[in-house]
Amino acid sequence: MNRWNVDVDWAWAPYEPTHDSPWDLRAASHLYRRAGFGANWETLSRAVQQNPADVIRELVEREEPAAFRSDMESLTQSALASGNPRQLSAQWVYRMLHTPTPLREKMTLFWHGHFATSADKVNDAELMQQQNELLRSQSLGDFNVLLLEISRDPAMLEYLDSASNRKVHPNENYAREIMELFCLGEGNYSERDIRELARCFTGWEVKRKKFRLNRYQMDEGEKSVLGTTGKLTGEDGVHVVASQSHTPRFLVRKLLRFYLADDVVFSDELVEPLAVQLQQDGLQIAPVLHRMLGSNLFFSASVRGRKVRSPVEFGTQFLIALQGSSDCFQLADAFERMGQGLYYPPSVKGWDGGRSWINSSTLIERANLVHDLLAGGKTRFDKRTVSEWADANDLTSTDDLIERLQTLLLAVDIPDAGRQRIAELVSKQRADSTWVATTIEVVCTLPEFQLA
Amino acid sequence: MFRGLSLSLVLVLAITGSQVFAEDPGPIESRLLPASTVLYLEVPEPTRVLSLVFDHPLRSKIESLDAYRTAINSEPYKKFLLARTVVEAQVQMPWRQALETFLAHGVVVAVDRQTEGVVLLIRGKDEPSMKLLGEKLLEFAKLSPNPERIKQAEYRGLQVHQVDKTIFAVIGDRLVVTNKGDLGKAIANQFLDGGESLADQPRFQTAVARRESGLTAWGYADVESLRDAGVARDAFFSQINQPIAELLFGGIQSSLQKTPYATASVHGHPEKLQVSLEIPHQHDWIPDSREYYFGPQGQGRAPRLPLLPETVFSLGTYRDFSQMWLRAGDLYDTNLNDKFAKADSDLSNLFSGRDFGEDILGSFHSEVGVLAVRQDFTDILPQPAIKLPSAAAIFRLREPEKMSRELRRIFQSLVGFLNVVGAMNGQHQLELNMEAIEGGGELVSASYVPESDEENSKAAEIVFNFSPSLALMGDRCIIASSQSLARKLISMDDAGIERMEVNSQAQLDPKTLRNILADNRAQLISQNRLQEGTSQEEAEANVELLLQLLDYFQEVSASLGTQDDHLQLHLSLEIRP
Repeated sequence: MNRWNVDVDWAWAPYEPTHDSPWDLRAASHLYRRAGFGANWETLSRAVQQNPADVIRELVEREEPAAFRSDMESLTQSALASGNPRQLSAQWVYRMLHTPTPLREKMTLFWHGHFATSADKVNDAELMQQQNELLRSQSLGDFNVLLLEISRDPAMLEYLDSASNRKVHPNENYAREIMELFCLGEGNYSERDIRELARCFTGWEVKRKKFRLNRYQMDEGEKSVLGTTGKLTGEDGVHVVASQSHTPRFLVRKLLRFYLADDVVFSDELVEPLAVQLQQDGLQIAPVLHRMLGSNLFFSASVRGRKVRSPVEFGTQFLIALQGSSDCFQLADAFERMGQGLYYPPSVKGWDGGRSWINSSTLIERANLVHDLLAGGKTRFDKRTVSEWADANDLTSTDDLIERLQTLLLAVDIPDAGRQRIAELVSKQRADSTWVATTIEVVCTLPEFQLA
Repeated sequence: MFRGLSLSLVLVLAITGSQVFAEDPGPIESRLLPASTVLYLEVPEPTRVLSLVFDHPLRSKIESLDAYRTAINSEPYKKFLLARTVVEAQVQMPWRQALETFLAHGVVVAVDRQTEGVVLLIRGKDEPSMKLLGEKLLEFAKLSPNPERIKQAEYRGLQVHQVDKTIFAVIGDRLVVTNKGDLGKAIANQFLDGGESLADQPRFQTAVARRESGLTAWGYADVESLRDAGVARDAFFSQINQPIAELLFGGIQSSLQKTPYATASVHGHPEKLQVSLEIPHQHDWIPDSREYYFGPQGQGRAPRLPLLPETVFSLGTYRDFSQMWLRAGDLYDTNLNDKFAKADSDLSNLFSGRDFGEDILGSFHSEVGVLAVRQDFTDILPQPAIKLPSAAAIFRLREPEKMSRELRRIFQSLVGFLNVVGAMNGQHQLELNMEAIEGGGELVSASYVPESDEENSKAAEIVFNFSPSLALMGDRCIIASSQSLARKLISMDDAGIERMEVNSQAQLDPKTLRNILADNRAQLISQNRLQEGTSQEEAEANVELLLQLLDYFQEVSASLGTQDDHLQLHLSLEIRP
């Protein structure tokens, strides 16, 4: 793990383009890659015509248009009609590829990993989708609300074996996870806090797919959780946990790891200003995210290429950058094989992310996905074949194409020797139209492409 | 020259050959092909086929589709048009006229066992036309980046060309293309010298004797030679080892193990396309283990099924399921038999200790009908979001007095079992209903009970397509996925009683299929969006195209039966006028 030594005031100050860190296509590409699922040439070109602060503000503040929401609802209903949670995965991939509010969708993915719940155990498409909608609607809002709602979410309670919580035998699962994984982190609570908090949740049940308070099973006695004592209810317990000073620090660290860098130890000094802001804002997520994404540190060289692309980012960014569309079932299945099955996180801890995305098996899956997308008849690029797409974009030489891919998709440059090797490799195919697909395929299997 | 090239070639002699063909109204090039020919396919009048395609009333309908207009503006189609224009300029004819000229008097594809070669014989309008075709083919070949791969030779006075492994020659009004020189030589010699040919083979002659006139295409396979040569040994002799495939093809496979040849006939009309596959067949070729398929003495016949409005699919067949189940040891390998044994044990438990193969399956006659009918949800709530057709199986009981009571009890037990399992998994519960049917019958059914907040839903879960039902009347037994279908069928006096002349018959109604798909239009659009990555508008267009295409078809049917010591499989596609 690396430790950054940066000037904290400079780090979180609003981004000012400089000679070393200009607001250009590569910077815009970095922003859209981290804050969303990538962008195509037109979006990037438009973004660099604007002030970066305006682009970031739009990303954070833009509301999901009602027409898009309604369209997605009809798609979701169709997926639910089949009763198969796996169909939901394809529906979410489609949404990621087409969303006009990529940051909201990226945050929904973040919370899905944070409040990890797997359809493997819940095995109810309706409950899983209900939770997904909750994560989306509160993704940039008040964490207090999100935490309370997720604590009473039927899918979450089913997943953590807390669908029935009786006062004679309080279930400690959820009490442990809300402190360890959702809010405070290890070492910031005691076993006694867990037992006491579990008593607060007694009487919470899931009946016929809905949350219910069974007042006869509620422990009405006095409890003492994290220093707060009284006849605490479940809602009180959630509030006590959320109001701990560790909560904003825990959340900020997790957001920094998700949006800035995988393998960095974020010092307390670096975390503190954002944690303080989050606390002062009453745990409102959007403002602190706005500051994080609009900071000097976010656009600095130290952050570029410091994340390993998750499987979802790998597939969606490839397609969005090249204006692509494809079989969402195929994509969802590929994400699962690559280690990120949507609606199917591996455990309550969610995905480890970072370097754990990459191993010999997932690397082959990544290469296979790109190959399948390029070779598959269902993949279209701006409604064209990939060769036609290249022609339409005046990408007539290998160099032009590599340059475009680098701008659209890569966080770090391909070394000159690498570019030379690619050019040599595809030179034999220049006579036919397969050179475009081959070039893209080779670029997307480079180590550089695995970085975001 | 021929030896110097060490290639062999092919040819045709038209003038001498034409007299032979003039006398032979049968297979057009069979006297040209060696006696060792094992596969033969001919299109005797390609101009008729071209006319069917180009002048079909459906063509104008298809050309009026948005999807067609989109397709003709696509890049691949534009490339095709460009290539077509180049070809038209080369041959100085519009492409339809070119096809009619070059294919005027028939096309034959054949495979020879001895040389393991394939040959394509095309007989054109006249000698100058085919000479032009040969020249243009050569010119196109010379346009390739490696013109040195083109070789020329002469064999017995005939000019022959070779491009890579493809050899072709034009002689008179014929073009001959093959991949094996020896086959080419054999054909050339046959033309020049005559001699024993495919037309002289007794098996071929027997097949030709049953060949109808006016066919669009006709094919012949020398099954005995193929079998003896070890071709597709697994298909002929291995166990099928897949119960569904065994039920569909088991008897056919047994017949193929003995039959000498097979033929295929295609009739194309503007309103119908029919394909008939036929093999000689004797019922004593069928081993005891597959008596379940054709019945004793091969007399098993399918039941005639009732005609219900909006039936999308129907299948009437003769299959002795009990016998097949009990003979599983002869039909499948050890692994599958272990699964059968386990299934037999589990099912016997489920059916209250009665032996599944002997007592349960054995209680039904072997004539079985299966129907799928569009469901009408107009006045029904809750309505499922995905609207499936209801399906029913029609049987007749061997001992109705004894089995009716047994089946009713088993049905009730099954509903109880599903309710217990469903309750454990939070699924909907079934409510049991029993009612008497006029005429002495009874209907036992179970309906899913909706939750209070979904009683009026129009997007309910898929289970609301089902109300499993058992209907009994005399010796008739209906097992249906919906109460309404069971009630309709049991009330029809003749349901499944009368027998047809065939072993099996299946029908598909494209119009009803279209209506069922239209009922699920929103679902199909969503599915298309996810599967193809399309926008709402594109997906709507795709689904609309599918529905429009189904509108063009009247009926699809298939039947399997025996007649005059032949096993016949007829396939038919009717086009809506």
